[in-house]
Amino acid sequence: MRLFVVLFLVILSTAVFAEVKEPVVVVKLSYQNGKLALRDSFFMKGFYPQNDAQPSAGYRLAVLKTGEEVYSLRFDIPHSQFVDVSDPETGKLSGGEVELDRVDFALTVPYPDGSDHIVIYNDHNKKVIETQEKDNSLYFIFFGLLLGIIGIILIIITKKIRP
Amino acid sequence: MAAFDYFLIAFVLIIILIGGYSLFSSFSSSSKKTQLASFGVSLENSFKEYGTGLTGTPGSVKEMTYSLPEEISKVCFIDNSKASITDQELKQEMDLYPEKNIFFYPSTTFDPLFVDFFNLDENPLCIFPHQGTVSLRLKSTGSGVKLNPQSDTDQEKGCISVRYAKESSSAIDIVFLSSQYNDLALFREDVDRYVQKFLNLEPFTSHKDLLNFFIAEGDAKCTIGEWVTCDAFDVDKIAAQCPHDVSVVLVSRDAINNVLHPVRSSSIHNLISVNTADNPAVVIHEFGHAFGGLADEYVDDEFYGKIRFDSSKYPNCDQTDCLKWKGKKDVGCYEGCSLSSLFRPTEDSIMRSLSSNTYGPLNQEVIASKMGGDQ
Repeated sequence: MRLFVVLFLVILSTAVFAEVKEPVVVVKLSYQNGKLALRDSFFMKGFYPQNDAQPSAGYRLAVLKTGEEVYSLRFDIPHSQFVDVSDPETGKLSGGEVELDRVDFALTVPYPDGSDHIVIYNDHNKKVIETQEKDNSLYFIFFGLLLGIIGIILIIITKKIRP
Repeated sequence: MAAFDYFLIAFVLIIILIGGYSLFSSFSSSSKKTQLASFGVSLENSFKEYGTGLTGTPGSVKEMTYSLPEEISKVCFIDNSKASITDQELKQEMDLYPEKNIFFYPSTTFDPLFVDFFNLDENPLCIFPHQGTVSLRLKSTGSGVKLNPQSDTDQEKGCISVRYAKESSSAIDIVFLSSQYNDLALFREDVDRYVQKFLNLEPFTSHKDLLNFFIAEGDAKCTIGEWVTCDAFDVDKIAAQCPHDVSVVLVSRDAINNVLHPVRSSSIHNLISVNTADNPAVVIHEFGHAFGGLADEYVDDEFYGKIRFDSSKYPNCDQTDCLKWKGKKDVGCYEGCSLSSLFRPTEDSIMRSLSSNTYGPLNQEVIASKMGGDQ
């Protein structure tokens, strides 16, 4: 009987979890000698932390879609790591906080469909990292050339028509 | 020149622009289709050549990377000889294209393909491409290849709900990940043990309705040195399969080995890396750091003597006057909080010793407030 109750609770707890995944990007950052660098990024459908308390100042990551910010997150650089171990007999802890020369950390943020790039600003609101926008350069070259040709044709036509 | 002429020129220009745009778009789209078709041909050729003994011998393993359009966010391989698929989104695609066995996302942009000479252990095998490439491990079977991803974190895996109380946007989501476990049943037992540690301690007991616990499947990359450190990027890629505010990686470690060489658990940002051979209450202590922003209340001058410890950043350590919590109920001013020169609010707490079974009133209040509940 007890086993059935446990099984039922397990099934129930799994069944009620039906939250929908959305496009997110996991960003790998590193900080060393006062410089923040973007090392890697990974796009997937998933979840991002929603209750991660944001500092009032510090770095800010923004996700942009055709020039408009669709998401923004303030974050601090985790300069230190806590390391602890307990005595198996007394439970007494030892260890402490370790300051890191180089910090590798990651942030997961939403990346709604149509988003084209990420920008990170420092605490003076200066852009320090910007990922590459979706490459539309071929379209621009094509239309530039087309407009140029049309312009030339127009000039020729106007000159010919003018008495 | 007559107005009609200008109108005619403008009309012709618009036609040229529209025509040019659609021509260019169709060229771009057909180039993606060609790239996708070439992906299918490359797969089939390598599966056939390596799997049927032309270039590989049965049992041998080879790692291959294939290019595909960068816009593809996920590729799912289906072994039609295996059990039915439960993923509804994928099932709908399979019903639409019953003769295909490789599906791409976004499915509205990319048509599926059929490729022969492969089978799977795990059906379906869904992989996230990385910068326009997918990396596969091929194992020759003599009649084809058995497919696996090169990296565990490239594969889409599941999220298991251990305890679901509330919608994640208004709850604290704690996700557990495994590292270096040989037996995943043991990992599941360990997770239950750690979850119970949380639920039997204040302020969590009074705020159970705000706590969700999940397991994100996948083995996290962690290293064991003087302390356990997990690769934050790798952890986040796995944890993102579940709602997550704090990630807890359980790093399996043999108890006897740990007696000989004790290893510290650690926390940084919202990532907790736990040495499972240590007292299970260590996860509660690390959660105090990662989520509560609490300082150590024990004194270890060997560590704290080396850093510029700033007590103003922590709610539970203060100068001699203990002004931070003056007037609060059931708290005092006890000597020693990370540094021997600082003071803590209670004589003992889980931030001081794992033999304690409480955070103490002040720390409970800090954590409860961050959880969005009242003390």
